[in-house]
Amino acid sequence: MGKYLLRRLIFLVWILIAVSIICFMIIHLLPGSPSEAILGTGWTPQGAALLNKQLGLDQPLIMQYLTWLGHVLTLNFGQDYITQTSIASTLKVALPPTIELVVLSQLISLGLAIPVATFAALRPNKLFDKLANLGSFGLLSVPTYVIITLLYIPITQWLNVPNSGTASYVPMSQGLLTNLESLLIPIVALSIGSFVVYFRVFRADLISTLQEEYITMARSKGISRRRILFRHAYRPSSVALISTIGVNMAGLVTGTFIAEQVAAVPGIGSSLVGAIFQPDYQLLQAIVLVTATIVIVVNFGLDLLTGYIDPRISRD
Amino acid sequence: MSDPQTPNNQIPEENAGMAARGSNKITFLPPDAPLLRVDNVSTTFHTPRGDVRAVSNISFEVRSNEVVGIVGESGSGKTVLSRTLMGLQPRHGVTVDGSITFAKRYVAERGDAIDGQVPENPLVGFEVARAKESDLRTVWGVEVAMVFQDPMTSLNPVQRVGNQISEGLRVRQGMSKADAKKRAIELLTQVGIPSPEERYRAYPNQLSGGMRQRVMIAIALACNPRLLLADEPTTGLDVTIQAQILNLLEDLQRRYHMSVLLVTHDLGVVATRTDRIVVMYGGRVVECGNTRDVFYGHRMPYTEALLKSTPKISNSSHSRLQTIPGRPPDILNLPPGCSFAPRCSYATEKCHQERPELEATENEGHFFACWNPLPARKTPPATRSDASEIGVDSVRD
Repeated sequence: MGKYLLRRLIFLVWILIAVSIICFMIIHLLPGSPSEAILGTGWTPQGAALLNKQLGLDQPLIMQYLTWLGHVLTLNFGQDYITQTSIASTLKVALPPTIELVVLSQLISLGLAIPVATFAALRPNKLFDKLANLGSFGLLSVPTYVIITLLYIPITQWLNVPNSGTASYVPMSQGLLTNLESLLIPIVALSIGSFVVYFRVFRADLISTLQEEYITMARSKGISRRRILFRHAYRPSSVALISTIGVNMAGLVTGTFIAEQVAAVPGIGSSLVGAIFQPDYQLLQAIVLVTATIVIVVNFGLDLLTGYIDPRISRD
Repeated sequence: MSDPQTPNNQIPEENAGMAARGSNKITFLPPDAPLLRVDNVSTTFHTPRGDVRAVSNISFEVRSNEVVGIVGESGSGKTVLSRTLMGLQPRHGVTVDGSITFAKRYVAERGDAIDGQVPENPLVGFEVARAKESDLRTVWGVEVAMVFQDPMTSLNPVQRVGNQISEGLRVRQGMSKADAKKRAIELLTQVGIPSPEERYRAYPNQLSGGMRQRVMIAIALACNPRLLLADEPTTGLDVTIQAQILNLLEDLQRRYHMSVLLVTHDLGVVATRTDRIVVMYGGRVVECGNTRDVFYGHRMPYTEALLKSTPKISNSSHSRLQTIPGRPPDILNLPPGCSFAPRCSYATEKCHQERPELEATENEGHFFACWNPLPARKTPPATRSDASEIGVDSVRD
């Protein structure tokens, strides 16, 4: 496990460096230049040269990258020349609702998918399994924004949560309950999206695990069904599920962006869309860097978990 | 052995199928009752292509301290039979007919009405064929345990082998974690695993095939079962390892006074290690009897063919090994007569039309099913060098 951890850690560092280089290059690859954006109509060649010198843009690219990396590592994303605010403070406001959406939807979808998949897998092809399969297959084909739209009437009218999914987002600091109410529609929509994927993966894996010879062997020891399920079947069955969570993380980021747009949540997704239309390249760069880093670090953690669960993966 | 068609009724009829569980009238078995009595057992799989009878009308007994070999080619129903005897067949899609009575150690429970005196080592009949899984769990591991065929797939890949051995001890015998670990390491030593403390913490993928099979045996032995079902325990192993594993099983059988049901396709394996042999073909018993009677005085041509196709050291080198022509029967489509008839050189029209029933020979407990049996021969008295006389080189180092 020790060597495995080290290997994954080295890999993580390489990936993060690659991501930072790509993010850094975004600004250089895009049309226009910082001086045009900052000076606007007052642009002159002399003014631009002076500004480039001030900003360090006359330095060689590698120096620019290292300076920028140093700032980014200390969470200094610089000043936004368009909104005249620090980018770090923009992210500080925009990240919490997005993280809340992701974490809650993952907890809910996993919390539902595991027991439902277990129930289905214990009696495969019986009524419950068939219904759950059919339902998940149907929901799998519905995009998140359609689900959100369909959720409005049931949640705002029938459940009587009128401030959900409207522009009235309430931060967590103003009360957890009102905060959750305002996020209810996107949370439910994202949970449904993840649930169907997790349910299908875990059910399929559990069914095949329960047919393994080592499960029959465990039964022949005379231990209870519950013990066989939890001690012998869950662990080998969860490897694919954990990998799927990692893959789903990337998809979830875009899913969250769409959900935020549709349900009017002022999160990272809304900021990103705003930054694209502005265009505010600095903010764009910071958002891409932060989300990519989060996705990579989460995947790293899941990799370690997989290695812990299945010693064949982490064997030195 | 009694007549397999009409087994002697040592166990009163009403007693069979009685699990010693609450408000039951308990009648004890005589102390010399067979440990396992298999009476007219058939296993039918209900498949989309129709019902498949993988095992038909099997009857035999295993007495305490006895080693019985079940021999047959692949597809003869050996594995289905051993799983059926264990009660491990799935609840759905499979029907088990007949009766499998196991003589279980009696543990007093509330509400038991004792009939007469409680004997010294009380035994009660336990019917495997119709038992619920919750009742079977009371027998599995502690009364009857199984060594599985493939040590590569029968151990949980994500659990340390030590845990897999001590689990039974902790769950079934209520041992503390430390005691169970001590006993598990003891078991690992007994099955011949070097540096057992280290291996206790190993995962199955860190062990060789032979080691894994030793671990499987340790798991099976953990709770001191009285009957060990070994389903082709050496199939996936090298020949040298095979001999070691078989010798180990033999030693442990003696040490723990167990009965062993040794299922194999290899006559060399059963030649010197069994007291009795049951030869199966097409899901049926075609010959059974004391090992010596079957080897010297076999009457069924299939047994002869099996014996002839076993390699012997006395064969001249580079000589062709005899094989049985044709293929094992398709159990979905068994011939109406003797299932071996299509491959049998003695087959007559009658063999193809009518299935022979088991009939007795002059040797006690020796039965065969054949219309044109080989001539009866007298079994020579037992000598020390039995194995070589039988003409089969047993797998022995």
